[in-house]
Amino acid sequence: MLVKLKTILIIEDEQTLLSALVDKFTREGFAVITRKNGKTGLKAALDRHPDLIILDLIMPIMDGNTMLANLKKDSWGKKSKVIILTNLSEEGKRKPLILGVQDYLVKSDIEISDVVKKVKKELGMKV
Amino acid sequence: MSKNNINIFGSYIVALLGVGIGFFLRVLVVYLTGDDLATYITFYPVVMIVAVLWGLAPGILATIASSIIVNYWFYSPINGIAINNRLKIIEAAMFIASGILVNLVFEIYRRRNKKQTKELYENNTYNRAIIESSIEAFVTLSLEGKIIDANKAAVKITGIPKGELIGTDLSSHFVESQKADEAYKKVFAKGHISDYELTIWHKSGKSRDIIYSAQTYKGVDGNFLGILVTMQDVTEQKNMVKKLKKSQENLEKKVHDRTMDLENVGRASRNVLEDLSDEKAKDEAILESIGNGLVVTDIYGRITLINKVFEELLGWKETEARGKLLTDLIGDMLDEKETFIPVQDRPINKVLKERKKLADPISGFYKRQDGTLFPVQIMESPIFSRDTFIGVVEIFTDVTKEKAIDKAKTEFVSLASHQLRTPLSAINWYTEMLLEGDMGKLTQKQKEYLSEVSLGNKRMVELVNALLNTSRLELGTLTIDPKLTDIKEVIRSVINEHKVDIITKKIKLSVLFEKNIPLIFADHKLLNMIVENILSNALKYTDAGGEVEVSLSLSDSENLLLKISDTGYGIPKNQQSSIFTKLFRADNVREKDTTGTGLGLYIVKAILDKAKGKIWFTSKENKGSTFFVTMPIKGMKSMEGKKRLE
Repeated sequence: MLVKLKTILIIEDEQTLLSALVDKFTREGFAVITRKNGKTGLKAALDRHPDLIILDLIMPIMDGNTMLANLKKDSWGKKSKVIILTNLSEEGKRKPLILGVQDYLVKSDIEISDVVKKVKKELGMKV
Repeated sequence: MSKNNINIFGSYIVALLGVGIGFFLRVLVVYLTGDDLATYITFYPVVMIVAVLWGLAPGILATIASSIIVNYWFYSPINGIAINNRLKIIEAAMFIASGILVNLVFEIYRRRNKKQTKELYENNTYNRAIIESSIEAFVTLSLEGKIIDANKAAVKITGIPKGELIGTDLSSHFVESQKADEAYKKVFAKGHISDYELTIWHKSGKSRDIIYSAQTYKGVDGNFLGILVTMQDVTEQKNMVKKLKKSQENLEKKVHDRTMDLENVGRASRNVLEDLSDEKAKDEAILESIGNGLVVTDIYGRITLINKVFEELLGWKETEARGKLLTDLIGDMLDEKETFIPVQDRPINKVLKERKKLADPISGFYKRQDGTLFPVQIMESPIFSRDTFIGVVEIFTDVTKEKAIDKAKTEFVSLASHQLRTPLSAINWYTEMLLEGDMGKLTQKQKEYLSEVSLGNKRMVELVNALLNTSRLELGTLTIDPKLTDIKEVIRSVINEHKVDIITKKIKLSVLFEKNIPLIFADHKLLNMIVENILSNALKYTDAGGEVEVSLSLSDSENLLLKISDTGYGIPKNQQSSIFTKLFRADNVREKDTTGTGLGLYIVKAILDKAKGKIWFTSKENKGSTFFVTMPIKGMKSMEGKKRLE
């Protein structure tokens, strides 16, 4: 029986955090795509149309805000689901584009299992 | 009348006496000469004398008496009665006729003479009356200067009776006798003088001021007869003039005094002005030495004064700036977000319009002459002179350095926020995955140790968060984002997060919510922070088995009251005043618990200050504390962080 795995795109420049996330989400049964900056992340998103994007804000080359802005210009991107996962606690939270994202999570304040729960909830999966 | 009659009667007797004398003389002549010729001739002189001296009637009487005596005495004895002698009758008739004629001639003459005398007399008395009634003193002087005549006014002026006056030297009556002599001589030389001012002595010893005028008078033959002097008593006028003069002098003195006063005032004002100019110099020195740009405008916003720093900061010279609108000179002003401020919204125009001092300094950017921008902080006040609005003063500071420091701080906070939390996140997540057995089952000891790692890491995260919040509050980057919030829900969720602690410490927790607590506009996260801090303190600083009570009520029509009380350690009285100070921890809790940051209540207080709420407490050591928080029902004031951390 073929089960279509939910695909998530994680855009995160910190390798340790990325590894933990990949590890966790893979074991939770997701198909995981990773990119390390906004630019490659944007390309991957538009190419692969993941079910959900976990997006860091502070990254080299292209930051999360810019990536988000470009993503929302795309017809598919407009409807895409994005959860911000960052260590910027609140300062970036009120930007209009970010107000339109599904969630805004602060890495140091959230347990990794809770990240998974939030994602699953967003995708209508059984938690 | 009777006197005149007696005189007339007397004159007849005298006439008859005269005739008698003539008779004796004739008798004597006849006796001596024996000649009786021209008898009547002897009587002619008698008739004439009587006629001249006593008038017509006695003259005629004398004539008739003479002719009778001649006829009956001298002619009768010789020739009998003259009737018989025609010659003698003619002789007698001729005598009588000639006597009457002589008498008539004399009478006519006398009458004419009498008329003239009367006229003269009347004239004289008339003139005299004028002279006497004149208020001017008249004195007639002889050629020697002696007084011949004087009128009543002259008597009055000198106080000397007329009789004593006459014959005296007029000059001797004057105070300035020499001057009077000169006047007298001048009259002779010129014939008259007038308005000669002299002072005359009065008998009483006082003197009177007179105006002396004089005129010579001549006889029919043109010879000088004397001098007529008029003296006008001008003492009163003089006194009046003196008084006038005195009052004028007084007036002048007063004017002078006033002038002096004015001069003094003038001098004083000059001194004041000098002081003022000293003050001005001082002010200018102050203006020049302050490190801020300064500009003063009139009521239309036209520049009247700028200082050196203004010139240096903006690149405009005072000569270029003066008279221009400030908003024209500094053509562009940007706000903090670097967007253009429309001219009407520029701070200067606000102050010009509202005539009120800016409540807070305004930050923004000014454009220099060369077009470059620099960050400024502006303060402005209207200037009033005796309640009249006369302009605006603006002081601005170049905050480039402050901005740079702020930026550095902000960047540090950003670094702390991001860079510190990233490894903490990694530790968190990995220990979490290990603890959850994702990588295989752990031994009890391994679990225990990893839990310690996780706990230590969580404390680290809390500390970093507290520090970040402190920095945000201090840098003004705190954002208040009020949304309709159910406070009860926030409180419940905070309690929920502490469920484990409450259960393990066997804390007896009671929660009381008053009915009808409205939803309020509040920043969920900040509200959470407030409740979390106070409640966690209550739980942390209360021994196991203690009581904690949370209640929410309407304190009044405008505020909500949150009350969190415990039966814990309390705050030592001598340290209660420091409880909201940054990094402060009371001695008693420091001994018992080493994990506190000393930032919690400081942050709560700072948030409430900004959100228009209040916090206070009552506490007794070893009895417990009660914290009270009020928040306005109308909600927290929205506030956007001044700077963003990105």
